[in-house]
Amino acid sequence: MKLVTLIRLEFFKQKKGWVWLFLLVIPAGTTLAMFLDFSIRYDYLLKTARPGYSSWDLLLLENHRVLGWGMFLPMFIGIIFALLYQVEDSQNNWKQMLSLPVRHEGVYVSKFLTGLLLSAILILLNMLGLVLVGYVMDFPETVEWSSYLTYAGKQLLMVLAIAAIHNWFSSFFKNMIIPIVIGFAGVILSSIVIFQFPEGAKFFPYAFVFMVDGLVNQEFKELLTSSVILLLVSIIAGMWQFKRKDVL
Amino acid sequence: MTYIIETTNLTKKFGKFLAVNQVNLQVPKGGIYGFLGPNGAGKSTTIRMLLGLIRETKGEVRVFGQSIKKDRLDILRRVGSMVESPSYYGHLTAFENLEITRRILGADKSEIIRVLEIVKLTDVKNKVVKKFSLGMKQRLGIAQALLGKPELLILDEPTNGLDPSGIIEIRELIKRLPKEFGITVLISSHILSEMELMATHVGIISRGKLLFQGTMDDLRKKQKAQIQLEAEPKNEVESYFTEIGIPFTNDRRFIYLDPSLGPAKINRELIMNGYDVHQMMMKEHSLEEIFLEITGKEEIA
Repeated sequence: MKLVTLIRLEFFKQKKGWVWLFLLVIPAGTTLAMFLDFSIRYDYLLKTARPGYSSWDLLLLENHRVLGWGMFLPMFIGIIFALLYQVEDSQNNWKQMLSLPVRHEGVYVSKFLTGLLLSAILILLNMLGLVLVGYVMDFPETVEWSSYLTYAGKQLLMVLAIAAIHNWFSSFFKNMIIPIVIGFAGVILSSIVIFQFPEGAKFFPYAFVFMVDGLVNQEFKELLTSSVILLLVSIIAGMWQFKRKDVL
Repeated sequence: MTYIIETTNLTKKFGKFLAVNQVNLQVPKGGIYGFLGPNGAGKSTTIRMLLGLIRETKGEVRVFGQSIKKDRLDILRRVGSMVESPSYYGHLTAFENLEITRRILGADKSEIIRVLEIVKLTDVKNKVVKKFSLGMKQRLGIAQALLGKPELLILDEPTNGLDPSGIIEIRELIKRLPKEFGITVLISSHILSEMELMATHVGIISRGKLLFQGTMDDLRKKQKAQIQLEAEPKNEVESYFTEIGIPFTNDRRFIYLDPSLGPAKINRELIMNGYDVHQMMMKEHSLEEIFLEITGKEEIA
């Protein structure tokens, strides 16, 4: 069974599923929030901005730090993975799925890659929402596509670890609420770690996205190394556990 | 005899609980094997091990002569199954549910139409499954199992939740499978009468142990006859039998004797000795009673 077929099936299973509504509602909310923020505070933000920052840079920073997109994204990703697994757990479809000629590893990796693709869509929609706000606010500068695409790309790299970890959690816990609560707790803890123990943030995957805002990110390489290492460890450990799990 | 499924000392422990205890299952090719046992006897756990859903603690499973540990994918390509309650994606239609299985099996699209017709769900193929009745969901589960023309069908309690007409329909369908399609069927149930009507072979499991395995005829041979006697005064009749050395068993109302003693002779002797004989008949154990006897013995032990 080809991995591509399994990924397509994952999307097929999500037809009419909650995940699409989630992917639309969250970026719509951030777009609306940023629009309100800039409608009210645009002049103030321009006045207090660091020299050299354009309106687009300010919009990006407001989204990432003030609105807290960088802080909450790991939790959103946790919810995406919980929804992906819930479709199997709700009617115990695992016994049907795994009685078919499919490799456990293939099923596990296809869930991970589908979750990652959905996360990419979420990140992209948030970014496009920001561009829309810029257009509606009629920013004097032209849109900085390269910096916005870099912002989206870096976020995707920073969520690799958290995606792998939540793929594992969601496969392990039958109750979808548990990984979501863990994701929420991770977000709360990350705010403590980032501001109280910034050195430790390099090792705390829930903090990775917040640390890389697309503008100021000297620690990007270090964080990328941590993200990739945690990705590999979580994928291997999660797959091992998934393969050994009794399907009751 | 060729066995499609063979297990050797198959054992499963959940912590300290021994769910399946050294089971040696032998399912012959081309028949319907009824896997019987009371609820919680270990039927579903055994079936899950046959499909590689649960790892055995000890022992071995061989299907089509191949090991489920080493050749899981090869085996599962030839097996259709429904384990306990049917699994389905409730927000998808019956057709879409079957489409998922079809794509994994790489079967032709016409297969969906074929299995929908077999289980008589063609008219509701575009209805979301969460709106199905339990019986319809059960039939969808069977359709999923039949998709891809498997050589072996494993059905765990497939008539659960079906109404009497649904049970008859499924029974007739299962009976057709070996004859028309050459499919070997392993079907589990806790109802012997249901198995009696369709199984060619039977295995009885209780408390994780396989207590009987053989053909349905082998099981029927256990239906030994007895003389059932109602005579009065009962205590005195029993004392009389003891006195003259006739072995018997009893319950509150009847006395049971070996038929080789000759009912006419016993009857004559009782009357000649002044006892009232109200009724005397030859009684055969029903299969239900044999089943209860087999599983009951184990529970007492």
